[in-house]
Amino acid sequence: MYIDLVRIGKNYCVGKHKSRNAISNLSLSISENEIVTVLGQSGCGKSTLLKIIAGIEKPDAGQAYFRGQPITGIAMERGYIYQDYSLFPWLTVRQNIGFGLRNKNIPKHQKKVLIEEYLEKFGLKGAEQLYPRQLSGGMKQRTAIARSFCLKPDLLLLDEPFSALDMMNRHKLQDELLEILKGEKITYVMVTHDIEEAIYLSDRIIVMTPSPGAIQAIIPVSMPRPRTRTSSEFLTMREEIADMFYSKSI
Amino acid sequence: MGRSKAIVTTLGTLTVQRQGKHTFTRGNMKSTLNKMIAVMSLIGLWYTLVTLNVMWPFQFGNLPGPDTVFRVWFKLLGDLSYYDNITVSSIRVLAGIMIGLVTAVPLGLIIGLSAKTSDIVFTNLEIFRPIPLIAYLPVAMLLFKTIEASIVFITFTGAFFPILINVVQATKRVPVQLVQTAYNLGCKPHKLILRVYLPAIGPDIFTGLSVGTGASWMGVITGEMMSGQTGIGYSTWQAYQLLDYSQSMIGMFSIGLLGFVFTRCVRFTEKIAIRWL
Ligand SMILES: Nc1ncnc2c1ncn2[C@@H]1O[C@H](COP(=O)(O)OP(=O)(O)OP(=O)(O)O)[C@@H](O)[C@H]1O
Ligand SMILES: [Mg+2]
Repeated sequence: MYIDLVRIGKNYCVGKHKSRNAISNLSLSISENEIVTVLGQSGCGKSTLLKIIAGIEKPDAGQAYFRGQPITGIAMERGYIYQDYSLFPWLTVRQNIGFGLRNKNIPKHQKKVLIEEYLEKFGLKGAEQLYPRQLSGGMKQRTAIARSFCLKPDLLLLDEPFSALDMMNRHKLQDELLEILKGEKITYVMVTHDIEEAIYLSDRIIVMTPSPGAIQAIIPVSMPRPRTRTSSEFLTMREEIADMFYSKSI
Repeated sequence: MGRSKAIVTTLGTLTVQRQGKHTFTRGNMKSTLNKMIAVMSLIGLWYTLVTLNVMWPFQFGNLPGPDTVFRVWFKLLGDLSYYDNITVSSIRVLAGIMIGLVTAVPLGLIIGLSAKTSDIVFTNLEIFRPIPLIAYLPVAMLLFKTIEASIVFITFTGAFFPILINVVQATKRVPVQLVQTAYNLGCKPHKLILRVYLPAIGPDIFTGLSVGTGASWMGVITGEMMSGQTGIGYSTWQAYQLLDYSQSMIGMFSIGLLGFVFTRCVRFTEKIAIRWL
């Protein structure tokens, strides 16, 4: 498949002879152009899973594959967006978006056109000269996504991209994201702890359980888009997934 | 532009948007007035202590009064040799700072990035760091052919260590996340220094530079007093030995003023270079 995780295990070293088990024996496959969300409560290893796919963390056991090739490190084709966006504080919005483009072999004027296009697309016109500390949470998030997106990665990995936003902005940005994703050939894996968000966005939901981090269930979402958060189908699914969490934690 | 500035006034804290032209507030003017009164009273006190020939607890009576000092100073402003001394000392400090900057920043980056270099190089440097600047002078005199070079060595040492320490610490503190993000955006490892580390430690370079500039001034003055034949430090000490006490005091105030100007210049450059904070 496009992404294959085979019996992944990950322990973090804490102190000399101690380690924390973040993920154990996790296997998962993701196909091309799929929108997948990883859902689970805090500390169940969602970020770790995403970092392994990005190549930021190496698994201690098992192997991760991208297009059949083992993942050995960070690569441009697998864009990763941090939970706190990780913008370069010394660069303006425009320069942040241009950071990756500078590493690409394309003519200068074309880079300029691309930056303009993405500023427009992500609603950052008028904010292009601002530094990250001058941005609102939503603007930071859009800058970070635009920065990765304009490099046309095959795979985009996002760690809780909407968690720092208020509900109204969250809904708005979710719709904008779906709109942007529509025209592109991109596989999209996102971490969230919001059940509603997972159902609204994904083709498939991966539900994780904590200690040790493992997959509890994989739920395909076949509702047609655009989805309504209040349809009975939506609400039923929400109920089902919520039950899954509560049954586990009680 | 866009940078807002908090101004503490007697009425409270205002945030004033900088718009190129000065914005005067009533509190602002009042504060300037207070500062002027403070300086005037100090000069008044000096005048009184000297004219009344106060000898206890300190021998104020030995000092020239502000009237004499300012009169001589004013005359001196028309004298070229005064500026010569200032220029000579300033060039020594500038040279020291520049050499310090181009050596301490790269070295600090390497030490901060590689534990091995840190063990080998930094350990040796740590032995030299606590040595007060002026204690280097005998060795500097032996190492360099000219007095000029040995004084610049002192100003260099003064600038070098504060910059180095700040760069080393800051380099170690650059978030891994930013480095990983840069890689993820296709940044080549050899470009990482220029595109991530250097801008990230920018503010700390300036912190080191501010401290280093102060130390460098201290170094040049003591160096000149002990071994020089030129410079404001030399002329200040020389004046004392020739019993020309107003010259001595003028030298002292000039040194203070120069230090102030240099610090201001560093601040100004910092404001231009680090716009994102
Ligand atoms: N760098 C690290 N060093 C040590 N332990 C870590 C490290 N990163 C994560 N862990 C541990 O691994 C486990 C999973 O962490 P992870 O960040 O993947 O959780 P998460 O599901 O993303 O949580 P959240 O929703 O709060 O972001 C946690 O128990 C955490 O303590
Ligand atoms: Mg996380």
